[in-house]
Amino acid sequence: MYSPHVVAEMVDANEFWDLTRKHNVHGVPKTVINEGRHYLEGAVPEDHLVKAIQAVVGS
Amino acid sequence: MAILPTNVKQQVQEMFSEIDQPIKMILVDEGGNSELDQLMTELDALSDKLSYQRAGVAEASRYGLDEESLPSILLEGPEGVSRARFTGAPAGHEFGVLIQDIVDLSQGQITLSDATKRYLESLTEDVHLQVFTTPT
Repeated sequence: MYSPHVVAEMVDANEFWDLTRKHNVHGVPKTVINEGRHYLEGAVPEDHLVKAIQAVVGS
Repeated sequence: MAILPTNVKQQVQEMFSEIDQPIKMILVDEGGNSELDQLMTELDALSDKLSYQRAGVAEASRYGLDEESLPSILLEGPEGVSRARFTGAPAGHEFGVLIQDIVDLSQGQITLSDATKRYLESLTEDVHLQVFTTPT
């Protein structure tokens, strides 16, 4: 919502097996950043997610 | 038969009483009978400030969606179509997230910290987040 550069998609892992397999989703929630450039397992705090995004696109 | 039990409808209606600006829910899918269509129709009936539109596969690209990622639920608020969307059914915990998203979007409410907002304002590259969840 906040940035025009960010798209956030909630994916039903049971319904999209191809995507689930592609990103090796064995546990949920799992967050995939920019088609697999970075992965986060579990429900992470906001600053943790920001650090992960920074690792992919820089600060 | 209704998808949403009466007690859930009452809870959702209570949350929807906090809707400020009108919100349109858009379901992009292949059409035909579907539980998702029924769910959207039932939600639509719970608030005068909500509307519901169904779009076909041909319109997927207009919303920046791949055909492989349908069905998809989008929310359109005062500032256009939100970049937060649901791929597949918003079941289990995600149902609550959808309801809260509708209310937050209608109120223009952003719950992020100031530090995160500052970082997001500085972003120049596109970021695609996909959060995989299951209904249970």
